[in-house]
Amino acid sequence: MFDFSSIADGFALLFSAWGPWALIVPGLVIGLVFGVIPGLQTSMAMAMFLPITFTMDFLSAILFLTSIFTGGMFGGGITAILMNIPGTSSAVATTFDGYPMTRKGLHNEALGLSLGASCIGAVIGYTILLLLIKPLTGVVLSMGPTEMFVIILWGLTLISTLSGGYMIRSLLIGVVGLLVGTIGMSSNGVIRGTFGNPNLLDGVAIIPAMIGMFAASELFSLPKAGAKASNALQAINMGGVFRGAIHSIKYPGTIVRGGIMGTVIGAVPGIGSSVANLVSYGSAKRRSKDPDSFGKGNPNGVVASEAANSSSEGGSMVSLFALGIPGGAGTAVLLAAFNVHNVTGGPRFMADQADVIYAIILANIAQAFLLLFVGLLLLPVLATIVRVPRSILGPSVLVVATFGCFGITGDLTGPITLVVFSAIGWVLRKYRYSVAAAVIGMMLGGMAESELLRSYQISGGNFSYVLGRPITLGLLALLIGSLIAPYVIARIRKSRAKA
Amino acid sequence: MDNKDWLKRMDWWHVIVILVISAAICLYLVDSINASSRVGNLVLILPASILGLGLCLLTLAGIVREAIRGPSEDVKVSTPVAGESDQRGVDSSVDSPDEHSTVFERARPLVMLALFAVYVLMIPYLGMDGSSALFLAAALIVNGERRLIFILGYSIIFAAVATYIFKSILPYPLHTLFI
Repeated sequence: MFDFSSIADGFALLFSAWGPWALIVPGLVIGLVFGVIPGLQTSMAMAMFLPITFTMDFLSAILFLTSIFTGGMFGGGITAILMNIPGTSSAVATTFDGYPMTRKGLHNEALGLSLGASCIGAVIGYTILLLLIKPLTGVVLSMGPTEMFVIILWGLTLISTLSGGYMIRSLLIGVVGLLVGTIGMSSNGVIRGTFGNPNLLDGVAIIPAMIGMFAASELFSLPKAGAKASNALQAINMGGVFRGAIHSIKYPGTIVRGGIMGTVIGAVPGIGSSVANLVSYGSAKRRSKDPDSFGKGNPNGVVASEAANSSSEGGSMVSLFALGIPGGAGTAVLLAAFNVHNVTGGPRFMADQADVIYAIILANIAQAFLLLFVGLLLLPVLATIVRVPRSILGPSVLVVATFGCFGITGDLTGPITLVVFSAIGWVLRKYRYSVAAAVIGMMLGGMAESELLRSYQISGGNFSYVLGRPITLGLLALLIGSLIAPYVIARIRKSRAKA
Repeated sequence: MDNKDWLKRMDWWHVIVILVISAAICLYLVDSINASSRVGNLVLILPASILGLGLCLLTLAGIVREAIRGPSEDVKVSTPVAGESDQRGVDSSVDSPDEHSTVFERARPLVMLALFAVYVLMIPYLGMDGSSALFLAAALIVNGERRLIFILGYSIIFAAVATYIFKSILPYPLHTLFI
């Protein structure tokens, strides 16, 4: 199960320079700040700061971005506890018992529990990833282009069927994303869809497009006001929070179950932390001897939600590392960072650069412990940031995004792509299309085309080739099942409701 | 629900969005076929375009159905996608627009989008610093800020600091007016 030699190489790589370590604390701080402000998302922070990683080496860039990811997961819980407003969609369940604890005057303990559970949850997620990497490598190496192509389609289907909004609309926009991803010069040297624009020869500038769709499009609609000040915001006591963090280990069963659930759910493309916290909360409530106390300030509820949303980060790395396919917005940004550094995730990456993968996992486990200290020290400051009006934050973040996009392309192509895709993203959000499906489709379009072309060349265009590949058939069955399941579930619910 | 006025209930803006998507798919398919009609070029584009157009038709059918009978049968899932904000869960509790919100408030995202487009188009003429300061000032006004000193001070200082930082770290020349 363990590849001790690669783990040792990972350690060596990690401790050979101090550079990657120096970026973790700033990354955590950025994640905490974006996570704590309702309306700003962790993935938004990752996309905004992606251009800064261009000058870094691959390991430093990934560690910086994953530390934003880790910080954001805890940051979202702070306002959930103090003001009943989840800072991100992954902290919705934290409000259920976190805010009632605040109303009882137990906000310091709730914040501490949340911090402790987040740290332990993140450690659980990455530890499971550490255990899975070696067996996963063997499985994914046995896959050919046909399997990879079907996995891409399955991943996109899952993102479309499991994400918020309407399924057909999300499937449509995923397919459009795939097509946009093929614009430019193909591997055969054919130029498609550029309409004479030389800036499109290398395809659509994916990072400005991603920042536009994920971040800018949402900033136009940010509500004006900042969060209202409350007594709880002004009375954060570090000692109380620290004691709360220590108390979190009194709930080992809830944390471990939440951690495992979060990792498994996080590994499924399309759902991740947004669902993991709710599922874990529901499970903790069902298992409790006193389920009526949930929703009234039961510490188990806070611990279950925060352990699950933090551990889902480790789970979401599974498909990114093993297949090169992102499962959500955060991992989509990480895949963009892979591309920038000419690294292709997937079977060969796992086999050839196992030391880098282990270095990333080990550093992320260390990150979780660092979060404990950074979170503790920063809590009073974060409570102040929450009060900054979003009427000021929105335009300021847009300006920084424009500078960042200019930095990516070196000319106005980046900012113009940003504007165009922020408008597209705004329209998609307005009509409830999945923005994540569109972006991930765009990122995977080129890969899907080359895998399909290789399958075609190997099979000679004979479809019966697929019948001789049981893994492909199994994956196709899963794909069809994913398409049908939502309709079947909806019918069952409807008939139950009638009964 | 009254079925006679279904045409009035149709979400025509959404229909236009679908028509634009369909037109874009057709245009891209034709351009790709003109570039090369070999299998190697169309292996993904052709089936994906056909699938996309089929899904456009299904979406249109859903919009019409919604207008005639009420909410569409297209499966609606209540959970937000990983990493995407769930406006229902995140922001609505803060200050969601209610029925009393003004026309301007409802149009504010479009005004912001238009301002953002003008900002980017002005960069070659006003530089990153000048256009950023103007955009910030205009956006603050649109967002309801009325303290003139604050608007001027914040937009100029923020634009100057951002320009200075990015000018120092970017390997490309940054077009600026003052800094």
